[in-house]
Amino acid sequence: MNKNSKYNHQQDFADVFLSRRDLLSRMGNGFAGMSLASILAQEANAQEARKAVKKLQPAPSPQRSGNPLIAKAPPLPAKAKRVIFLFMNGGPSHVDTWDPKPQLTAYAGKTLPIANLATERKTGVGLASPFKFKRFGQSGLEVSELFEKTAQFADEMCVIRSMHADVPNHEPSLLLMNCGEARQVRPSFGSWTLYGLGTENQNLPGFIAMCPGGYPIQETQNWQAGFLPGIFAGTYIDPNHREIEKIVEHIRNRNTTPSQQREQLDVLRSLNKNHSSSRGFDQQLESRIQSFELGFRMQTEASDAFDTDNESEATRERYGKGNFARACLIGRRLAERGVRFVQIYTGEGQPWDLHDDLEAGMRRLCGEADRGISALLQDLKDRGMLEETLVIWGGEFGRTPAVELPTPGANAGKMNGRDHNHWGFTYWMAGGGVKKGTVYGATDEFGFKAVEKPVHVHDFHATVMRLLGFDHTQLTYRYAGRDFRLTDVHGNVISDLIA
Amino acid sequence: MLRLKSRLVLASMLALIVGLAASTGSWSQAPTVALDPDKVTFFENSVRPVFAESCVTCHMDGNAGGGLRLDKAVTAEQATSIINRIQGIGGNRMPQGAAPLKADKLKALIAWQKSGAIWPVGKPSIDGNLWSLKPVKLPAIPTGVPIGWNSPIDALIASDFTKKGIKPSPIVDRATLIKRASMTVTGLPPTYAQVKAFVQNKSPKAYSDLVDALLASPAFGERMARQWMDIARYADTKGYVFVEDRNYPNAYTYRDWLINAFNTDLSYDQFVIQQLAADKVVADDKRPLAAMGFLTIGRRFLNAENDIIGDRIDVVTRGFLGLTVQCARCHDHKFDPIPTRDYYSLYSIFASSQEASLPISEKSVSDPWNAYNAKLSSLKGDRDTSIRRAITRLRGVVASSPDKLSPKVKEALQMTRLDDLPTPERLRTMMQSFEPEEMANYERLISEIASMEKSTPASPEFAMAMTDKASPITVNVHKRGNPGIAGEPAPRQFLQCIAGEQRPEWKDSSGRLDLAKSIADVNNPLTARVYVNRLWMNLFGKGIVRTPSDFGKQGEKPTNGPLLDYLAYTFMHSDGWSTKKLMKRMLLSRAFMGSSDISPDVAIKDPENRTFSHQNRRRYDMEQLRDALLFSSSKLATARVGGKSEELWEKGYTARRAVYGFIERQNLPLTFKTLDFASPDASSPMRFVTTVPQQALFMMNSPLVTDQARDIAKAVEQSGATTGTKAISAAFRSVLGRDASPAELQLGVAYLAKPEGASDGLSIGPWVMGYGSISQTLDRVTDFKKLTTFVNGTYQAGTVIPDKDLGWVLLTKDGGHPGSKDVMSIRRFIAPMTGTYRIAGAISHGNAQGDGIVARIVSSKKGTLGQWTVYNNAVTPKLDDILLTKGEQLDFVVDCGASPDFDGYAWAPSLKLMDTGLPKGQKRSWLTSEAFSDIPGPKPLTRLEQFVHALMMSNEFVTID
Repeated sequence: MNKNSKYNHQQDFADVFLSRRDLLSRMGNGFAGMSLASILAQEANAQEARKAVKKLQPAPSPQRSGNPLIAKAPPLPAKAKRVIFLFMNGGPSHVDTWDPKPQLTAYAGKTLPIANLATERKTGVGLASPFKFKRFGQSGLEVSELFEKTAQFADEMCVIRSMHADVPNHEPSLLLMNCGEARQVRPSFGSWTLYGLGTENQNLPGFIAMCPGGYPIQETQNWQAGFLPGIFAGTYIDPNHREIEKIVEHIRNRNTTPSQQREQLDVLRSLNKNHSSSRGFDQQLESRIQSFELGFRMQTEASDAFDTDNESEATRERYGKGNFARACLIGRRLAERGVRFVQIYTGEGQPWDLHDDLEAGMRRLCGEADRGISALLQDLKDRGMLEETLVIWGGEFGRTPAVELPTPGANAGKMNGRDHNHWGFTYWMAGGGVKKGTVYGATDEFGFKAVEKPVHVHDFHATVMRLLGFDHTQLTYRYAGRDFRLTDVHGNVISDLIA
Repeated sequence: MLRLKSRLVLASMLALIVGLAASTGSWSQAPTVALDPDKVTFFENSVRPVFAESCVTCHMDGNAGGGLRLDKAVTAEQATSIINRIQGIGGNRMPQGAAPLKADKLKALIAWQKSGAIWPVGKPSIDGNLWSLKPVKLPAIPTGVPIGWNSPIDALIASDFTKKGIKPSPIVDRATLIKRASMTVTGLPPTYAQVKAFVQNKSPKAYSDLVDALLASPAFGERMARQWMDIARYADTKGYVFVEDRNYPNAYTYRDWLINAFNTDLSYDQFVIQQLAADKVVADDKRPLAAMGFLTIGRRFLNAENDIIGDRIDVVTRGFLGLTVQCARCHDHKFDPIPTRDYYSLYSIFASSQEASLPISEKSVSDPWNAYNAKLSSLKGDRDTSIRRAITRLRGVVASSPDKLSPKVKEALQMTRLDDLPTPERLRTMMQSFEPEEMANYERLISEIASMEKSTPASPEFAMAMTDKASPITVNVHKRGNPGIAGEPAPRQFLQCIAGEQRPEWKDSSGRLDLAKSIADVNNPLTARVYVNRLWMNLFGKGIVRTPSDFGKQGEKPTNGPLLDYLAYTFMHSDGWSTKKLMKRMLLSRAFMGSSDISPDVAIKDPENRTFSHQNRRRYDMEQLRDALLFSSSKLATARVGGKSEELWEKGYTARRAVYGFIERQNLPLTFKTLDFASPDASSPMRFVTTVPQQALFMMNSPLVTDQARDIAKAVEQSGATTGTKAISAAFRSVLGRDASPAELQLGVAYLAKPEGASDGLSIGPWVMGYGSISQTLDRVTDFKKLTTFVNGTYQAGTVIPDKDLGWVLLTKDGGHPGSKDVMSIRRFIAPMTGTYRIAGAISHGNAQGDGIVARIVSSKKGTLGQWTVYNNAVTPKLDDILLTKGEQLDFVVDCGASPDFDGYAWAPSLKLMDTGLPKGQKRSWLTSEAFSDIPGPKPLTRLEQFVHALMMSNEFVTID
């Protein structure tokens, strides 16, 4: 069957898209009922129906249906079934949030005793965090006041204080964090996940990227499919939109009523049946017939998923008013509906890029983020979903403990902000089989550089892939003569992060 | 015996290529010890690939786990330990954290270890084993083939399927054949009339004439160009480049060149040469310069040169040669005979070249344009000089007698940096102090500039070309792909595996032309093979080599090697690299004409159709689909060939063919991805074919599709289809190019007879914007009239505001303005269902002048629910939740009070249904902004339109049998 032992290798995969073996399935027996099986499988409460159908029909598989998004089990045991990646684009300061540095306070306004590492711009003396830190939970995790609501979930969290990346610039760092490579076109983390696992709800896109108001920098490349088929790319959604047409493309027909459309699809089915009957069974043709039924149902399902009006006032109040918070609420609704990978950016451009006015900026950003994220965690926990939902928080890098110096045209010269810092920063994860209530690794005493158990972005990716049930070296795709993977030739799984 | 024979072939082939009596074909250091050739072959075929694939990631130069490297020779001792560890003996099982090696691989490694664990030093001598590097030879044409399979192409196919005991599928009917030929050659379906004429044409030349006509059609070049554009990663933008302009405004000239090249049947060797080095071969006609867009239209990777050149190497080597040379960027290719030095030899070629935007229009266009620009820029220079002179004089005045200048002029001078020109505003200020002759001179110049700019001559077109740098560059190998670690120099020369070790260096120039000639050489074993395989794939749906851009070890071997070689050889030696001649031979083959229906026997014996005993059924690709949709409504603009790119999926849908679509590589619109478009980020050998509901949604709901359905229905009605039968019959002809069967006619007629049905399920919003007044006696709005003009997000009475009768009355999504006395602005909400509603939204008026406004909420059943006077303040109406019955109107009325002046207000009421237990998907809240959407309102489809739409969604419409 497969020339190669690797899981999900392209040689297998090609069959899905190039239907190399389509003739096999064209002539196969018993697949004619596939439409029934796969449609029933979409029903929210179709467990029983699924069991009944399973007896009669082979389970829908990407190979047979031509739909590469059909859910697949990972090769290794795993708790995490889906990911919600909260992306603080612009680079959130770690020393003001998750990585307390009392020594930095001692050196406020003084030259740090360590040499300032090279970052994007010139930095000067130590800039103490203006925020208070407190211990939370049984684990005693120290978190700043900015995230006091989220910190209520300290015992669910696994905080990595020793992340590091390669360069102090937004563009390459965003691509590295999202796609595992700083410049060249590679599939994003979410696309790899979708490629490996498919998605549980065929009525919604399997990978959704939300960013209120517009794109982060590097734009749609952050959720690109690269050389994987385009259907694995993240679907971008601006949660500021309220009209469903602007949220999901072609989701509504303004010119045909649902009942007319049903009649239209019935006549279509007759036309297609007539077409098929003179051609013998052909899975490709059959799959396309089914896709119209799925599309028809997707119209209702998708409208419902994005309609936060269906949430109680109390719930919406808990999340707060901002657009990021609304995106968190939508994210929870999508996770509930089986969307495999949801990524939520804070907002257009790079909101966390606080070269000036750090204190005011952090209070503004964290105010909304803390409320939205804590509500999200609460909801996931209440619904028993946290265990199988991997929540990730972080940006493309952190920020310097030293103050940024004035540079004409680069900042407002207020000397109250921090520069980019790829040498050391914090990420945290919750749910999805991570080791709870853990702090892993450390930066130096000022928070400049990851010094203890450093975790490179590639290691982080390798670990997350493992949490999802993959050996990161085995989930590959052959392209242009090479087997590519999210971690390229790098990455080590940090097993201390896994429960 | 067999092995010996193949070694002889290898040796002779190498001797041929290298021009030497090479002994082993090794192309790095020769082995110091003569190794048993059988063992070498075994090692290269069965052992090295296992290490390369499963081990070296963690055991290589720079990452030698446990101190072991498996990218170089190991000792016998190490070999024993390796075998043990793979079996979990003496330590963790290897490969660690990965699946155990498959049994056959382990067996091979054990055999290797037991036979002495030899490791050929230097690079593997696998050149000769790689089928694609063997010379292209004319194969013997089999005889004794089935009747009808006599042409060489057919005989080669027939001998293959006969050997496998397969019976070919019969020839298809004529209607299927004309659709297949048209769609694959031109990308356009035949019309009903064309199908009919072809079916009825009894001439033995009918099909041959059809093929000639298709190949002669300008649509042929458009279809072929689009396929090559996949290979060439065509896009109209650069990708992410910070804030610089992203567009490639001249990318289209490359596409125009491609279309023309195919339509004029430019020979393929020239096709290659012009795309790589047109600058070296153009004469008076400069248009071929545009061919170099092939090199220059790639992504810009934040302008990182390493990556830009890497992208160019990739597109050239995979595109023309089917070799994955980019794999050798960081280390020698793990599988194919491509050392890192070869990558950097090509790198040196492109590093010695530079981009150049060169005019390609005729002299009659370029010359006047050049003269005009020279004149214009000289005038602009004079103008700037005149300004600078005056400023310099004024600065002198500031120094000597500052009181002579006004403070404003002095400030304007101060704010202008010494070497900068002032902003227009500051310039105007400074002019107050210009001397009369300075002023006159300046004014003369700007009036001359202005008059010139009124009569701009036509701009020439530009090629995204390349030229050689003044002095060519030889880079060093970047070790492990790191530009900071220099290795040996990589002179500009061709690939060793093709040209041999003794190949020349191209010292005098960039070497682009030499590279092009080496690729387009009849002795190059890859070029023709790769290209004819692509053409075959276009016509048959699958290639003879099923990895069309990878002819290396990791790729697939040809399913019919002699066929591939026959095509490649005759393409070069008989067709003279003519694409049309070769395609004609393929199109006239019996194999092309076979049915795509298959027997159960074939399905078992050759499920992947590797023998091509039948045709492959295909679904339209994105371009075929879009073109066919517009073609069926007779809107597709087929007459005009070439030109600039246009948006494909935005409203006002262009009638141009999809090949002219604007490709925004950075944020490629979703529809492209949904419809399996080739990623424009890198050379794309073939389209993926997925089947997902998003594609169905496009067909069901995109206005592009429904618009065509409307137009077809309209044409059907206008053609005098007075009865349902006639209408359905005409619809089938337009959309599917055939007559409906009786059963289909019945189906259609029955559909037309269905009642139109209620349209209240359509998303007509519950909001209506209008004006009127409140009847004091009835306490209702009794004279409501719609505001019918909607401009710039505003509903108003007419195009002119204020309206001569109604005054200022208008409504926006945020608020509005009442009109004259008793012309109240009214925002009407019609309850879409019975239920309890909550009304929200504050009213504000922000002007101390005038007398404010009076706002009321009035129900058509219950009268006034509340009244508020708002004057330079904000009020939040407090109302209890209210039960509305379906259809009940709620009017949000604003009256101007005593004075109609200064009465602009903000009031954007919203309603929410408070009932619980509503069905899933039920809309619960309504914002007034919905009425201001830029999404057009509903235009319900008639039954005929719906039926036409269903035909367009059908499998038949998108399928090539």
